[in-house]
Amino acid sequence: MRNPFIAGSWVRAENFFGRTAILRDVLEGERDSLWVVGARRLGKTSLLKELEHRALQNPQTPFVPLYWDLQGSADARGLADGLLGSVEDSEAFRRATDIAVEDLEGHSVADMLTTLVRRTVRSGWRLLLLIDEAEEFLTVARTDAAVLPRLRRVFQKGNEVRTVLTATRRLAQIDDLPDVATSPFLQGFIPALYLTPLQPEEARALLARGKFSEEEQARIQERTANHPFLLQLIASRLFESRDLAATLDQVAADEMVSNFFSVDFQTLDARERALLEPVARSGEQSLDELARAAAVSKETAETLLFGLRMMGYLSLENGRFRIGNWFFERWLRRVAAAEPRPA
Amino acid sequence: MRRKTGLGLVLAFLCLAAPAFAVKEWYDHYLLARDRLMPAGKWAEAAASLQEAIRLKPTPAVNEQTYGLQFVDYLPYYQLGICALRTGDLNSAIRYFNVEEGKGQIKRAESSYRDLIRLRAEAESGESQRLARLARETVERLLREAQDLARGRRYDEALARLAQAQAGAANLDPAMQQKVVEVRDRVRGEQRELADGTARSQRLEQALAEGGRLLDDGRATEAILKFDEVLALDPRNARADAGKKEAQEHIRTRETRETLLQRANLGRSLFQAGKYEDALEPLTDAAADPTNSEARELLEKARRMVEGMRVQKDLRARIEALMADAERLLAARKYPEAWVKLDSVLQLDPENARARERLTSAQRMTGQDLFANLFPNFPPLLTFFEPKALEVEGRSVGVVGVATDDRGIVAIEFKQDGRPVGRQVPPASGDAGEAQRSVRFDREFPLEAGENEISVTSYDTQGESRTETFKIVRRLRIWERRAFFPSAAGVAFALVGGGVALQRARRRRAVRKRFNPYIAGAPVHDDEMFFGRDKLMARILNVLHHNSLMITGERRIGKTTFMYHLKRALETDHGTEYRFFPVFTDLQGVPEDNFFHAVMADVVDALELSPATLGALRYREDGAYDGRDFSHDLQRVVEELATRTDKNVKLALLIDEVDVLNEYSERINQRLRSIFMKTFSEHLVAIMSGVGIKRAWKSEGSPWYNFFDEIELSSFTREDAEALIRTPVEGIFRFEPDAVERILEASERKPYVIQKYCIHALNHMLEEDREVVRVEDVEAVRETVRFEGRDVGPRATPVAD
Repeated sequence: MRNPFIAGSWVRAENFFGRTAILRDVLEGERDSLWVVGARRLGKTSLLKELEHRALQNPQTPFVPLYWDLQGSADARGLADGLLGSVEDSEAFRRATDIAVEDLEGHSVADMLTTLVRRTVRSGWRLLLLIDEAEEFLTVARTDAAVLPRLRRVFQKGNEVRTVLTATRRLAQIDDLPDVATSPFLQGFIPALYLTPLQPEEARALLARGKFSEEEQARIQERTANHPFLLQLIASRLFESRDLAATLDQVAADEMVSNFFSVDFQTLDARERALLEPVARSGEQSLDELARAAAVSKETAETLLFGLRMMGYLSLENGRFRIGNWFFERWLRRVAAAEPRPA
Repeated sequence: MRRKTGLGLVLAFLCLAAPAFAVKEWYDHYLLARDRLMPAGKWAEAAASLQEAIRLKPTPAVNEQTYGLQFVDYLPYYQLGICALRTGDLNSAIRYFNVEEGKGQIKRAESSYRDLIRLRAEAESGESQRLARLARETVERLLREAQDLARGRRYDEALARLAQAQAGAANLDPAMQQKVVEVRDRVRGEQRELADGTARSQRLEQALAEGGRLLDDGRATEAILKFDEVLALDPRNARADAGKKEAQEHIRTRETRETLLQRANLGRSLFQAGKYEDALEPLTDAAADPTNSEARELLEKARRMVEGMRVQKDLRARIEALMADAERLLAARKYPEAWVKLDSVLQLDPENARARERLTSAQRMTGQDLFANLFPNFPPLLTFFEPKALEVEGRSVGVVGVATDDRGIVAIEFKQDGRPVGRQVPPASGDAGEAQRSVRFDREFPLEAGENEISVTSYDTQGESRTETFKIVRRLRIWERRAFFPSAAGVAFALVGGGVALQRARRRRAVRKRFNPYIAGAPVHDDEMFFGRDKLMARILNVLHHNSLMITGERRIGKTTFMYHLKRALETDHGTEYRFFPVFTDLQGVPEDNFFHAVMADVVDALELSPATLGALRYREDGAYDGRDFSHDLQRVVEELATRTDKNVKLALLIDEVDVLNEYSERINQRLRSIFMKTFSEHLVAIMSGVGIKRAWKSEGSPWYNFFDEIELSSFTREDAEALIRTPVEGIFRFEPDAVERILEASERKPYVIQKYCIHALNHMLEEDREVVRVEDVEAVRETVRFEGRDVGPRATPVAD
């Protein structure tokens, strides 16, 4: 049997596990503007790919999906180019809406989107616009701020289009940018939906593919706190080595994993990082202790801690916060140890 | 009888005398061509001399002994390629270069191989330009002919020419394609206009004549139907109008008001029952009563329905006739004419799936025919992976290879000692039953003791063939010989002595030839020299179907060698539900703005894409090419690959020297990542190799490299390192255990350094005229190895954050 685990690439269909509530919210819910916020490698792209897949497979759905990856777009022209690439990539979308790439070429990105929505509606569908790497709007806002209000108008065209953005917490900074003078870009997208680690039973279903022993499964879940990337990575390597202890040590020392934590950590704002570091240093902390350590009010700390908990950075047991998973804790301790303790 | 005996003696004498003429060895011909005729620009004479060398020794070899202690890289097809290139025969040059590359040996001669690649690119570029010119001239000629024919109203012939022009223009610039389409549409429009006008006037004349005749016969109702038909085509037709009025008058005088009402009732009930044609007559009668507006209204509706049905019926009949014509033309291999007919069907019925399918076939065949006329056919190519040696000891030998031909392979024949022993007929692929362009063969031949002649012949669809012949010598193992058992005891002593002597002679020969199989510096292509990566290879093959990988490791740790062997392993990995199509790309020296173009160039080169796919690509040898073009083209490539196998297609991009990406802007890296986010990327995996990835990341989005799982290529295990030291010279030379230990310790088990030590220590041993490598040999070369290996190890500048 070939290794059934997938670490790094996006997954969908039979390789996709969990996320039932978010899938339902998007495909059957009432909101037409959604922002799914999640840490790096928590499965944001896979979620969008699964939404696309389900919308295409379901004959009853009113939606025709279009996946749009903003990565590397940089400005309005790049956004337009990426959107054309998305239309080019999705034959199903082109067929359903009877649209050709040539119909869009030469237009601005906002006009393209308007055309896409119009043609989708004319063909009897609603557009399910799945926007990945939405942090890129931050770069676009810096280079070409005027485009964002125009896009926002299309994203929030009520019943004709349902827009799903995925991004890390950094996207929240878009409404603080001075150049975006009109209504806040994320108005309507807030409150965000959190992409959490997998539920225990979802993680078990994933690990069952490797035919590991009960003890091994339990140990992996305990160490990863069901973080999907770590689950897949460890399961993939365990599948090859069949030596769990060695695999866990190897992953803990892996430079790629350290780098993943490092890049992920940078997506948090300074106050969030300030809340995590004392937990890493002392093992566990209460809400009061953390608010004091981070020099924020208790209410602010509570809000921030909720977000950190939802994204798997922290867990809460008996009123005390702990770091979400063993690997992240080890990495954060190393980082914290290397920095001077705050006065 | 006496005379025959005499003649036989003469012939025997001549045969015996023949060796006296054949004094020249293969290398005499080869060296004459390479060193004298080619530098003097005598290309034709050089080519003849090289052909003679090939006749005597068909297989290329590197470091082949000629006379005395002279060694030469024997690469005759490469040299023939150069001759052909210099005489302007670019097609032959490309083919010879491909043959040389297919034989594999040239890859061991690094500098020649680099030249081959450069010269082949030169030839391909020239050939492409020539072919493009030829295609353009052909299309222009076809356009002129089509326009002349259209002027003479020979529209079908004109459209057939335009179909050919369309096929020929597929690989030309969009302006030319547009021009062909415009002329085609204009001709088609003229033809339709003429045909419609003719049909209309014929129908009108016919209906008018029939109406008059029916009126004369007193069949007024039927006459009105005919006049109405005329008026539907020409509402101002005075003759029809007058005829109709006269017929109506007949009816009014013939029928009472009551009977007209009965006719109206009958007409209505037939209309309501959906019998529109039957309703026409009674309603026509009833409509003669000027006060019966309902009858006139129903009559009009019924007439429209009947007309609609007639049009549909005519349409069906026309489509059937056109389809029948098209099938007949296809059977007669008149593809452009069939294309025209099928095009007409699709204009009448755009949803006609059968016509669309047949049109695709007609278009392809038109293109192929045109292609066949433009570009002459050449014999297929045969590339062999086995046998690796022409002297074997086993009872059988496997012959494994691939036959390729741009027109498709229809059969491969196998002969042994002149007798046919098998025939492989590859199944046609696709719905259109096309012959496969690349066919793998793998056949085991039982061997007799001594010389066995094995030949493989492949045939293409045009009847061209190529034969390659091997003379394989099977040496009997000692226990297989008849005299073994009776004389075993007596022979044993001699055998041991002989064996020792043989071994000794072999070693002496190796010493004389300065046999040194180690390789340091160039990638190791030879399977037998590839050590120490079996587990890693197995691991990668086990995860690659779902994961893209980044293979990192310090410089000279063997990444490129590993990538070559991974490529080979993927090519032959047929045991699962996945079929890999590996493409190797070296990014060294590729500038940022040429990144996607360079990768696609390798994809196009490696996969031998069909002309249809090549035509659909945005990739051209020159011109701007960005990530979106790359994404578009990869989809087309994946689509073609899916037609080559029933398995799950995986296009595997093996990208070496990926450190170059560290120098690129983050935007390009992000564009690369975004390719792997596309839906078709389920059929795409990347295996990148380099010293390391720059992990500093400033952009807002996800780091481009986070879809890779990283695997580090590290030093060898002790066991593998020992195997690398001892195995290549096993049975010829020997390393003392202490010498092995010293190399292991000094090299830190890094394969490149091990090879360096082995090369130099072995040379040192040979200088001393010994057959055993000692510690002092290793010690003596330590400084040299250190000096040469001073650039080994991680880069001075860190690439991590």
